[in-house]
Amino acid sequence: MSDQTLLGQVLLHSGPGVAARARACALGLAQLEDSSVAERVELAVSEIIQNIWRHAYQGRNRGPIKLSVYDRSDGIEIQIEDRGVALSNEPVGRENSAELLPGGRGIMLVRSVANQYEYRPNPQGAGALQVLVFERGLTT
Amino acid sequence: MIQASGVYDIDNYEAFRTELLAALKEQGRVRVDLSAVTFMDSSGLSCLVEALQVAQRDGRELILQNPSSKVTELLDLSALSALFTIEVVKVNAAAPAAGELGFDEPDVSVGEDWGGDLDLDDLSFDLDGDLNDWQIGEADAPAALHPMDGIEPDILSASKPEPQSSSPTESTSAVLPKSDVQRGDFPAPVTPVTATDRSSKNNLNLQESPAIDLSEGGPLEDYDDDPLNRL
Repeated sequence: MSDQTLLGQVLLHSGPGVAARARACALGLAQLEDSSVAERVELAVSEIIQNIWRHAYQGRNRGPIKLSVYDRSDGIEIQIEDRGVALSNEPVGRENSAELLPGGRGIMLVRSVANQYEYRPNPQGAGALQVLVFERGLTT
Repeated sequence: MIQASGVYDIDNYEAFRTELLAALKEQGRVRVDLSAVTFMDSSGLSCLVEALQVAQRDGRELILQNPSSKVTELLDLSALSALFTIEVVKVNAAAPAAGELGFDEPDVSVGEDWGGDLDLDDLSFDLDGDLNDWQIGEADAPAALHPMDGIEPDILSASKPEPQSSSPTESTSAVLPKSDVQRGDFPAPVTPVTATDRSSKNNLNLQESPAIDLSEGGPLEDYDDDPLNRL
């Protein structure tokens, strides 16, 4: 898109520590001034990376994960791409989050904190691209 | 008391889960101090949810004490706050001495001249029968309750009280919803948890962070041909 500028990309691999690395990379590249936006980014990235490791790579290590951060006129966009097992449709989270059941809240949380969330299966093969958009707050 | 601190994500939730479940096996009431938790995602949250499930099943009590702002926000986002017992207490509060409870004591003292000349001996009534059968007439009740005016034996009527439609304990047995913040052990005063300092988070320097290895982008055995590896 013409109205967005790539701030940076990193290649990570599924495995221990990948969620922490991804959170740190996203925050480091985005350089957000609004701490509330930064907290939402941190949580959403952590949930998506966790899902990729658990479900797309099914717990296997060393699966590549590309994290890209773009600056947009209205905020930032984070793209996270993997080459694991893709879902045919956008993942469905727990509908009623107040149920006392562990698990299943990751996507619900992502949708809660991101202004936009898209899941795009790779049309050419394995994996998917997940896109997060976080709009800047009015005070920034 | 379980002291939780730092990050709870996919990397370390298992140890947290094990500690919570072990504590619930041994203790009837388990407090988890979450004031030092700097980050938690759904992995850590699932530990708390499972622990609450176990506690409810086994008749135990799980109390989340002083959740940090990150934990509080996560519970709110998940619509789970109402299910947990959340306790907010000032951790290092010194117990106040007697008479220093933080509010004005009632301005009443025994033997104080309260402006009346009523002699307690004048209030001795000769009432036959079971005291439980007696009640103050509704119309006269306000006067009867006043210490000065109109206290005469004839303001009492000997009518049987109407059967109570509800148990007298009902009004005192109300249970606060779990979402209500519950006070800690008396007499520690309740104070809101100080918001964590978020200012430093946005200043992450990738070069200075030992947790980030940007050199791992080399070719992989399983993914050599993948364009994703060529940034």
